Amino acid sequence: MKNRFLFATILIASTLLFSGQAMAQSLDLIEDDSQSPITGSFELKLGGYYPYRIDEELTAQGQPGAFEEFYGTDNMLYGELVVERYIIRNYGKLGVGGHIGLARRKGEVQTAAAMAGEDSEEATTDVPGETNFRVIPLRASVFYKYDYSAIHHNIPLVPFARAGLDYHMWRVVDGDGETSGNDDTGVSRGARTGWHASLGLQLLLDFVDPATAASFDLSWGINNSYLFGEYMISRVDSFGSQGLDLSDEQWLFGLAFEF
Amino acid sequence: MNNARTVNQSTRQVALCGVLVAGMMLVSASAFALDPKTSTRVDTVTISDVYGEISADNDSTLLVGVEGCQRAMDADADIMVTFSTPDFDVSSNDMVTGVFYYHGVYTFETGRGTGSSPTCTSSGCVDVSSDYISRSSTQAVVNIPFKTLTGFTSAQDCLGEIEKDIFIRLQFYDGSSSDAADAKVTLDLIRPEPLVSFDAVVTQDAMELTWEPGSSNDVDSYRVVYSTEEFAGDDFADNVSGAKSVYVNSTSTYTASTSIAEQTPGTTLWIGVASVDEVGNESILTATQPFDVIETVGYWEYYKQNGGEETGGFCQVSSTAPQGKNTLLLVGLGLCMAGLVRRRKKS
Repeated sequence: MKNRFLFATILIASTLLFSGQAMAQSLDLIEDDSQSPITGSFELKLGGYYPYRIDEELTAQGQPGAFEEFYGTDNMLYGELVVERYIIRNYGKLGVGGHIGLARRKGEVQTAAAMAGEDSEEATTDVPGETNFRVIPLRASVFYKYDYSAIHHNIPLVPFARAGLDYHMWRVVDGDGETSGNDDTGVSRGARTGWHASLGLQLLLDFVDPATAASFDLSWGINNSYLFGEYMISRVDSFGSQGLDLSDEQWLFGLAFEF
Repeated sequence: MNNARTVNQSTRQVALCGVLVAGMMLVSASAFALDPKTSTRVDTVTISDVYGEISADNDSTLLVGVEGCQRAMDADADIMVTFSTPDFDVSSNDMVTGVFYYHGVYTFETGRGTGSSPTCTSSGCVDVSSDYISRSSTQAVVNIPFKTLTGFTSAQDCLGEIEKDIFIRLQFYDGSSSDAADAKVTLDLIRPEPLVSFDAVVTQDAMELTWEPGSSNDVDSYRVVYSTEEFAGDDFADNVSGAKSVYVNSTSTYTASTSIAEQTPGTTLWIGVASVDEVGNESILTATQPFDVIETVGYWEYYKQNGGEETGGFCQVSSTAPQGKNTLLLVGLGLCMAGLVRRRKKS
């Protein structure tokens, strides 16, 4: 937790340093008559993902945590693509967005003897075989971005907030690419629902090179580019039902483009 | 100073060229010893066995192993070589200076990958009977019995543990210079050495093998023979009945797919492994070994075994979800998003 605050502090400090230099530069290009109309944005972001509450279902019953046993405790690399549509543009921008992400982790199968705690030669045998866990989160969100100061006061910082609903598709796959499971255990794929909320800060990049930013608009229709950091809390446990809990609290960083 | 530098550079360049030329000569010499001769006047050379008894072939080279040799002998197969000659009339025997004409078809033998190419117009080659040759204006086809080409009299000769290259050459001449194109039959009748040792771990979903190869240097794959019934090793895999097998292109390890590794935990799988060389010759199997099929569990099985209640599915509506505030949150967010979209449309 301390590391997260330290990281956030560094991010904010470096951002403010940048913004101080940027004050002297014109940000007229952010939204003026010379630009093409701004209707929405898309984002690419990366971060770590670990469903840290996934084992609570078993540990609450006094059982060992299955996820930790097979996949460890390190974060998975998580990537997400977001497409947003602006609906209201007065003091900032209000709109809706759709998200799709991906995270996966490879683990190794274990001998049944080892998992049963037996002290035998078979229990210590290094066996071949993989067990892979994949999550594809789909999200729908409402967001608000405060870019009034960026447009009117030459401050290249845009704080934003999001909240919405989640639908996370998950799957456990064997080494041969087949879904795990049999008649006894059922099929190991499905989806969990939930919600998310996030706060973040965008740094407008156009001030670094306004001429390039303008040509980017002419060539590609990209009006403004941002570097951003975001802290997101997601609760994905089908609103409290039994089963896999895919909730996480994660930092995400990426690039956003307004078009 | 500049002159000295130029001289030094020139010396280095000459030395470098010398090394390059020497290297190229070495390479070309070894390539000449191994490869069939080619000519710009012969478009393509193809070689095959007429009855398809020999499976391994590669354009102008036909590789013959022990089994292929035995099948060719038993079937009394012919070897067919086709020389395509679009640039001159190979049916012509007219000795017109400056115009290439047919001179003859010859055969000669070398040790496998060794020796040098003889000049068949003078000596060192054997004339192929015209009974085996047909010619048109654009191609010459040689149809020669495998027995005649190899000198073998029975399939038993294929167990002679020999290796050699037999070349079939089309020679042509223009009155002052000669040219030629070759096809090659490589006889590799030496089986590879068996493996020194191997080990395996077998689970219900996978089979992992590791092994120490034998001393043969032309091994390029292995044949893994397995059965739930005990079978004897130290014999050729084809002589083992009731066992399954799979060919593995790997040097020292192999992890089987589930298609061949679906075994029942607690049972025993018997495994033997043979070396296979590039021609397809197989060594005898190693002594077979029994391996217990180990039961493994993955994340999902372990989760369910320990009381996990997830049942999967994509359209689930929780029967145990607390009602009230979460439902209100869900409905509220939905209404909020719908309202925003509607307001946007109005404006």
